[in-house]
Amino acid sequence: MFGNQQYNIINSPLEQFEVTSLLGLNAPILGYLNISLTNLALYSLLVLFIIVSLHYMANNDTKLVPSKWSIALESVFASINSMVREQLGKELYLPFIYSLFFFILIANLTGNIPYSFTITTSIMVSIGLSFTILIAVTILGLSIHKLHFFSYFVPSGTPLALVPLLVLIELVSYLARAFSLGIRLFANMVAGHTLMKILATFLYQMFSGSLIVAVLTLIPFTLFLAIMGLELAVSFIQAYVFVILTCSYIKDAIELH
Amino acid sequence: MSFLGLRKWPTPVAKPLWPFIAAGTITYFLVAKAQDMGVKSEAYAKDPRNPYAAQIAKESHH
Amino acid sequence: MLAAAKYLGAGLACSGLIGAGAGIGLIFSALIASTARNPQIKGQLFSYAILGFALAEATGLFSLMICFLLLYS
Repeated sequence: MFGNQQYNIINSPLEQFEVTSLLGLNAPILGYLNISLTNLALYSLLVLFIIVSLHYMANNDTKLVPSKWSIALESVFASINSMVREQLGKELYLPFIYSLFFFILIANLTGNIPYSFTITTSIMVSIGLSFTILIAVTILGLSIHKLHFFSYFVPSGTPLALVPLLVLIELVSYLARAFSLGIRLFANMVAGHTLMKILATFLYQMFSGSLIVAVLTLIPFTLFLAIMGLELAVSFIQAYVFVILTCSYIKDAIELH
Repeated sequence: MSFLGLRKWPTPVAKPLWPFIAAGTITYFLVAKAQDMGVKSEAYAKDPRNPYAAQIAKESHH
Repeated sequence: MLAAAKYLGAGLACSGLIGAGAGIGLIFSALIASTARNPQIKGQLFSYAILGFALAEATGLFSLMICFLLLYS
């Protein structure tokens, strides 16, 4: 995995998550300048390009009869809109939630293309997103409720003797959100892609055996295709879960339980 | 379809998101600090893949 | 010795999936039971079930990820 790269067929299944530099500028000017285009950056730009072009294509230009793309996009918008309305009661944070959903969804779906890189399997991306959301939610709660925000950590009707213990528990569970939100996305993507790689390596070895074994391998191959379908579903579900939990965190900060 | 200040229904889109923008800035600095620590750590300071290896070696001479 | 300990640890880490499997089964059994009682709120129940499924699956995947990390890195 580390050191000199070996171009064997059987590599470590975790190698697909490695960030490598594709184009690098490394020069001792302006102190020490190092600009490199990694595969993470390339795929982030690709995701941005896909999202923008999808919305450009699906723009129906205020025609009376919408195109098929427009209908699909509008139904996604309607479902996110109803989710945000249900949780928050207003549409103030809809632009943020909508763009977050599309970023994670497109990032997960482009990762399902074989030999590509998934940007959400990079822990910097997923933990960075969840850290940003937790810090933002804390700032939001503090700006709305000032010092009353800290009453969030004391559930109402607690006997005084239990307050220090409960505050500690609530504080830990509040801070654990910053990690659990990102690690959920990260772990789902990493475990799914590693499993696919292991199964694909195994199937490749079976297919390159004798003819009878290769024909018999078609049975586990159908199972593999089903797991691929599950992986596509997981990409969608994880984006949805991330967004719905973000909504409920914002709601907690606004309403304080 | 108009864009950038010329929207048909001028509603504040970026303004209510100021906590998120502030948090993004904080996260940016945290990530930059983590990168700095990782680049200068014992395990990766002399790694051939580290693009800052030459600079760290030069600084440690002083 | 170290390799053997690695494989043992990976196998033990996989036992976390027992809980995830039981949790997913419970969620869908509850979904079926509640849909049979009140079929009108099927859509709402299904979205809750999917949310619960993802949360339960994530805990299992944490242990699966630890297992993969033990085996391959």
